[in-house]
Amino acid sequence: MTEDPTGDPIRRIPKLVLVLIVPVVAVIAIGLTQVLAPDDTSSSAAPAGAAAISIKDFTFTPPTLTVAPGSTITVTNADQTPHTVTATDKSFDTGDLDGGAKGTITAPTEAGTYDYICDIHQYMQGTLKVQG
Amino acid sequence: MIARRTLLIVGAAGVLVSAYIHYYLYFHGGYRGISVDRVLGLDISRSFALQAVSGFFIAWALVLSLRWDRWAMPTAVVGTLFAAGALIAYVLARTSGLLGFTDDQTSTEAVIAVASELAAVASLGTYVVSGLITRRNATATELRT
Repeated sequence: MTEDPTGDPIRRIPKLVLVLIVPVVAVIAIGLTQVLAPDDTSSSAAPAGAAAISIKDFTFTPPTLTVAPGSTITVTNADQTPHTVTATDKSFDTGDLDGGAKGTITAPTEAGTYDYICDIHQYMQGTLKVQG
Repeated sequence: MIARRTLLIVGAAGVLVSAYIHYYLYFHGGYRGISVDRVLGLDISRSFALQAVSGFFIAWALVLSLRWDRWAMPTAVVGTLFAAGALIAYVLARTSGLLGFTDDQTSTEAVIAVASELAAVASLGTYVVSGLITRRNATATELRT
């Protein structure tokens, strides 16, 4: 490669710098993200024995939850995207839960199987079983 | 020449930022768990991972083409298509759905990704078009002489 007679400043940058700059920037960005990004799981733990639904990676956990009638269920959104837990028959609904937010729902008082979805991402599905 | 190199630098930055946002959403935004429909082995999660990895290499190639000129035009074309494809995918995800996935929420990450992809399309597209015009004019001049 010959020197550029126009004095183009790019030509004065050492080739090694050009070769390394993108990988170095990427490594720094990923490293900083690992250090600074919020821990997805730190706020998702529910009290032992309490009924809880966790949302992470656009998935409800557990996929099927069994509770007693009228139980209070804690819902934790461990994603950064808003989600909801909304019964398909609208018998319970958390409303929009922002990333990292918690909400509660009250299980129906009638025994039965209740399917629920995220109203924003409706392919997300879970089941609540209410047993007396 | 310097103005054309600036277009490549802006394009590389736009592509790299877009790739980073997709990396971030995959590992920290929950997007590694989305597999509604799969076409040719590609679902939303995998497409985010693919976007992040390919964006990194395209940005790298764009920066290298600042010094190795013969790479500039092909990488600018690939970069333009990459950024335009990402924008189209975003629009589909917000409207008719993409691989079974729809999301009408506007996040900060989405705004940054769209802005960077628009910048990449504009700068790299300008680089490609101006290069083609220059080449066509040079050919016409050559034919006349």
